[in-house]
Amino acid sequence: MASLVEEQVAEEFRLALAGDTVVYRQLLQKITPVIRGLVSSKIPSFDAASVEDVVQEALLAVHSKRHTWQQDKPLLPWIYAIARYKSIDALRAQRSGGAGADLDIDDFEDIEAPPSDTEQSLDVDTAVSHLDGKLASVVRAIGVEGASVQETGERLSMSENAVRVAFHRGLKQLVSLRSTLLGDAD
Amino acid sequence: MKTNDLIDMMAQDNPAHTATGRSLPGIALAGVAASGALLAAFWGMRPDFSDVINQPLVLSKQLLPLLTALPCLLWVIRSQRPDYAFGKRLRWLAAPVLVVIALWLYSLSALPAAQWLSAIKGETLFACVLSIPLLAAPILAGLLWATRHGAPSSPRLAGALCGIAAGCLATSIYAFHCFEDNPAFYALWYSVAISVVGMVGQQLGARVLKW
Repeated sequence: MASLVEEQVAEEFRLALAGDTVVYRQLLQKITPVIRGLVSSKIPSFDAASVEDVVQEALLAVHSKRHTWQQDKPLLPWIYAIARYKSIDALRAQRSGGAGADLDIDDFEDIEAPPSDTEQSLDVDTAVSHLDGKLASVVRAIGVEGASVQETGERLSMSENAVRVAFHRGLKQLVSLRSTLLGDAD
Repeated sequence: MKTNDLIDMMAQDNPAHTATGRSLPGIALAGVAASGALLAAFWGMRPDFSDVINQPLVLSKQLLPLLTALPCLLWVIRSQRPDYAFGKRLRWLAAPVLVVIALWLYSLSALPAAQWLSAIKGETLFACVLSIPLLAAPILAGLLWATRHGAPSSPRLAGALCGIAAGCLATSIYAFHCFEDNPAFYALWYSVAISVVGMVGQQLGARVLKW
């Protein structure tokens, strides 16, 4: 597992929360392998694609719950707590439904996850086109074209807050669409 | 979708615009106000309130639930953070439970055994056990709504704490109306009502506090 330096990432996250999107992006990229390592150690029975789903869920939660980090408290335990929560959640979801419902996770403890560098490729445009109308426009404008929230709001005649909410929802939908879409693409 | 693409998109969603926090104490106060208004409108205050409130057993019926609500509210606030670990702190909840049990036993010991049953049953058992959850509803709704904004690592536990806090506050409000002043009655039935709200909170928490 890659390692992170608490003071450094905390300082970067503080900068990000102050509005530095470049630092924010670097930070998210930096914490991703650490989250991936934690997730795959928590749910060793998952294949790489499912681990990646949980990693993306965790990243989205880091993003949408970033106000719950108290800036005077350590950041890493906060990130680990989110990754742990999302792992347990995925495990529970798998147990309570689907094919694995009658399997005991303890039976899989010694099974190693395959190396998780098999990030599935599916281009963003295809994924975005599967979103609901308004969400697709917002995600395309901000995520693909790089428009600001304000511009997007003006273009789509939505309030800035509505744009933000739609963008956030769109991101969440993208993650949940991901597995279905990959099924189509194969 | 590639994780890297997701990260690119998230970075576009300006990190500085964090959701505005919902002030939990403010919401709790609003819930208490709503619940108090309900009591005033539909239950009414006991007419002799100002004459009896100086009696220790009447005062404790008012204050014990209030004092129990305070640490629960504090824990509800803390539980908004995913990395908050309760550890052994929740053991402190045993303190009010022990006090209430002692109070109940003490009040029974002061009565001849023949009167125990009627003292326990009181006159308003059903009204009490129904009213407290009803009065707790607006407070519980507010606490859960505020907590949805947070990221509790255990939605069930956070929900249960919301329920206990709401139940305790509602009990303190109901005590303005309730004329049952014998702990043989209230120590038992108030606790039952608070536990009911706590369990409702736990069940709701498992559903609505997931994130």
